Amino acid sequence: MTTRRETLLAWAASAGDTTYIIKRALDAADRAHAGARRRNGEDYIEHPLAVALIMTEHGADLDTVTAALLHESLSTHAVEPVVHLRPRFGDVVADLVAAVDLLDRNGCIHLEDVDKRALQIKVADRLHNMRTIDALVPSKRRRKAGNTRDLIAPLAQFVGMNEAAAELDRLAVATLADADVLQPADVRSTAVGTSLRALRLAAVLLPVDCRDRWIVDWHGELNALPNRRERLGFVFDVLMGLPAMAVLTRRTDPR
Amino acid sequence: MTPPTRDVLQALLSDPTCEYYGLELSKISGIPHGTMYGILIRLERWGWLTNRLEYAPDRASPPRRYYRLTGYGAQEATRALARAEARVRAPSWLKAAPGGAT
Repeated sequence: MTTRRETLLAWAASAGDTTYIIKRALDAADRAHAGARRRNGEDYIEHPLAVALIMTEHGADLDTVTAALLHESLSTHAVEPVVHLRPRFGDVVADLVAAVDLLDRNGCIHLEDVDKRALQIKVADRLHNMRTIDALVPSKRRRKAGNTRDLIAPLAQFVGMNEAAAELDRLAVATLADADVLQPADVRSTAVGTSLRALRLAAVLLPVDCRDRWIVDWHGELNALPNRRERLGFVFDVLMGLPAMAVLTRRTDPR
Repeated sequence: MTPPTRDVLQALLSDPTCEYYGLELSKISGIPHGTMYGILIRLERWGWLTNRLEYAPDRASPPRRYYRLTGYGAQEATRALARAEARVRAPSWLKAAPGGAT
């Protein structure tokens, strides 16, 4: 299997990286994140690598991909102050890294004032974090998913990353619909969780692409029901109707 | 058109511009939820129905999906219901007539 590192270096060669800026940024990022690990156990460097690769998939240029590789080196394991980046990677890369760093620190900014490429790196950053969100504790998952749905998915649309916007929205809604992510303090919600888990199991009868949609719907309905008896009645009703739903959703649709 | 579909359409047509969530529709029409979701899928496919997700402002509770008839859907539903009613009326009239065909 080709590693992210190999894929990125192959991309750099094909993108005409004559100054080896990608290789140099990769070395710098390696040093910045040496010994650090992500919550899911991977080496930390895998995250900037993944973000850089997402940027290559969105047609980014060498400078932007370089900035994506370095995007956490200022904040997370701070060994690369932006003044050191400037002579080694140029003004564009240094400014982009600084802009992404500022986005992380300062929630309230005017989007028009920020380099669009920095916003795109921010979107790619969140996309990889959402793809690996299972490693976080439920309360953090909930916060990240809410922020992704309300801010980052619309931001992705704003910077023209429509596919990323759709994936972010889907991941966020699925995370929020997950019973485990419910507020633990809300007793009613944990009660909803039992019913919801039953429905999630049953939903495997439905085609993959519309499963999430119906789980979100059922979650909303369950949450509105006042007591356990009515929720059980609801689950029973849905289970009875599920075979018919499965047939209907599978029927070929001309639209 | 099946009787449950008719009941759901009647519920939707009681105020064609209003948005309903699934539970509400099932309560108004008296159709069990399980049956109703199948009907909603079909109506959506015909282009009669549109929906949107509404998120709670506190983000803590899950979003709800609201359904509403499209302009085209309201038109077609009214027509289909009228046709269905005409069909239902004929045999009841035959039955009501003294000495009519059984």
